[in-house]
Amino acid sequence: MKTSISFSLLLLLLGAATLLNIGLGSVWIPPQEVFQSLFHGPLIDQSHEYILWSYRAPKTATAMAVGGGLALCGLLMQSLFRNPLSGPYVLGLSSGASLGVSLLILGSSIGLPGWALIENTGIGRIAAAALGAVGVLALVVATASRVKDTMALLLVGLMIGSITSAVVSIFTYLSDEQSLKQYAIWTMGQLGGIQGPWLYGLWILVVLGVLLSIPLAKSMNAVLLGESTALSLGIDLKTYQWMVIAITGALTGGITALVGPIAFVGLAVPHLCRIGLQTSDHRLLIPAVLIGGAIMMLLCDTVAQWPGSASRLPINAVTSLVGAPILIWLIWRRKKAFV
Amino acid sequence: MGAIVLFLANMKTFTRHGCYFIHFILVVFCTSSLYGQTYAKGFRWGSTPEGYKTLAVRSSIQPEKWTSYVLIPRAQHQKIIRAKSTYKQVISLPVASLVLTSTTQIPALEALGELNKVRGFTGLPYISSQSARKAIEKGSIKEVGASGSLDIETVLELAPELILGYTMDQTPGFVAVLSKAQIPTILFQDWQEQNPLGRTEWIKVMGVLLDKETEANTYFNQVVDNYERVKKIAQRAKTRPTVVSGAVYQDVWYVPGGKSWMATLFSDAQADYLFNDSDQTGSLALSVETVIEKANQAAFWIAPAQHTSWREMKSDQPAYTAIKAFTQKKVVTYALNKGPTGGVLYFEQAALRPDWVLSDLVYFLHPGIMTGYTPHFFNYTTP
Repeated sequence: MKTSISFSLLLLLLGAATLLNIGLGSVWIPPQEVFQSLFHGPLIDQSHEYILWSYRAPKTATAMAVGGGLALCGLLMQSLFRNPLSGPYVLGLSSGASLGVSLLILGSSIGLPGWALIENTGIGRIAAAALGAVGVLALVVATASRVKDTMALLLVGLMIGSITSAVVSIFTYLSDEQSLKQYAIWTMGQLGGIQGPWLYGLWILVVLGVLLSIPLAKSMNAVLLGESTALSLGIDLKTYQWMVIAITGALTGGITALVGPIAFVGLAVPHLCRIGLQTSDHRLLIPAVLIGGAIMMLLCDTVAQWPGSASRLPINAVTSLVGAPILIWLIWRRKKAFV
Repeated sequence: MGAIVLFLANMKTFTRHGCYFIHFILVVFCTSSLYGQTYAKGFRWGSTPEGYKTLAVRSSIQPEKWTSYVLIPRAQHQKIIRAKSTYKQVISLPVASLVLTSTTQIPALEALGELNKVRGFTGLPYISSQSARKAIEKGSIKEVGASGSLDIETVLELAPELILGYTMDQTPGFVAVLSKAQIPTILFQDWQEQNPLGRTEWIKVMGVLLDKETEANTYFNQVVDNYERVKKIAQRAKTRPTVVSGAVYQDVWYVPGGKSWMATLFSDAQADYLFNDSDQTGSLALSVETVIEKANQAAFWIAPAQHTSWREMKSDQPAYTAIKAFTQKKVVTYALNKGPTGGVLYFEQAALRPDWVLSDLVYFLHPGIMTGYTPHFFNYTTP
């Protein structure tokens, strides 16, 4: 009963955040026009119609998929590492994806052999980002199997972040202005302008990730009780681990390639959901983080587009400003943290 | 030097959107010579099999890719409708309303008397042109991205007939959104031209788009004539003074490459540019030591990036005193000449008026040769 109330509330919030995201932007469109266009039919003002349907609606759909996908990654990783501070950004997956993309964008400009052959757009970029993310994740998993200390894992993530930024800064020093600019723009994150096949592709990726994660919920619950308990419950730990690695690598890689590195959504949302729902049952948490991630991304994007102003804040900066304080707060109340 | 400042200016105009998909329309049926194009390498004219005129623009990221636009006079409705069913980017001529993204586009429009067609611009304070500033005050030119990046919603609301893009090569996603709304974008790559007159030649593109072809050609030919005239004057000089350029930014000295826009101007001004031997068309990133070793005897230092004051340069980088031109205060900068809202005039006008840049250089490098001339952009740095 309590759960259904919580979920109704979440869905209500999602609806509100969606309306807010579509309704607000740098151009003021009166709410009655927004409602008319959404529920009745095309507006007389064609430019408003374009803004709503060609720009804002795809951006809203992108934000939902990105938020849900990253939050799901965070949940999967927190369960895999049994570490409340895990998330695609904190553990260096986003950095790995960035490294892949920087190799692609900047590498060809400084004449690294081979990179010039790969098309520097679309599929090539997604592949580079996914490879980078999976590579880092494999490294983190290898560390996790050697070192049981969870803090060590975070340190490894931090170090990977440092290595990435070092490599990237060497590249930026060597490469030409054009590539540099292209890369810098990518790192700021972009939700708008993702259209057509790319938007469908993003949704298919996230939906596939969700479908593959649902059967893992039971394993995730069991692993919470410790590896030996999970084993005694008949959980195939190897398969479970590899599934999580594959899903999070593909999701983080794909999402990061398309919209740039997005910080802290993956980390913060699962915690907020655990606290909100007062549960650590992953059968409930999976749908909850999907909705919660979408809500957080939609709200952050609404703030980023700064209603009524022609300037935009980088989306990555906004999610950090919202997400990082949540991380600090979590560390403070860590004794009480779930997981 | 132009290159490093361009780089800094670009940092300011970073849009915050990645780029994932590029919609290039095939083609280029090249008949550029028909239009007497000689210097610019970034655009070319042609025609479709049906006989429509086309403009093709080179991508700055992938130089082998060209985007092409079909240009049809507004009066020929039927042709426009037919062309739109076959081609993605159809532009009706003359274009009645524009959104601009780079200050270099302003003086060209002003020269053609078409500033009244401008509806929006990214980063209004950068504009120095008096008539453009009046239009801004009147509210007829609107801000479409205060931070220098194009705000898509504002543009969609203004609904211009055409956008002359600049940094949008990086955000093809946006180009796609705009073209869906029937607003084509031409990526205006004048700044990519390495030949000084090549940048000026882009005025011909404006001329065709705005039905001011004759005026554009006349203007261009005048600039070419004047450039050649000054170049000849420079040849009378008895010396070829050595020149260093650029400045240190975070421990890296960015100097114009040997094949860059600026290097060509140095050479035409009869200067011995000390980094002429490099093949770079952009800027070179060198260590301070390398530059000092090579250029410590330089007679002139031209265009030290954003610097305007000798003393400020000295405190910024004491190593500058190793350069002879610096100790002898032969440092010439373009950054002192600013418009009413702080935009550097050189950035706005130099692309269209390389003849003025050349005249300025000759004036400073060979005193006495340019009699009765007042420099347009350059000054000695303040003490």
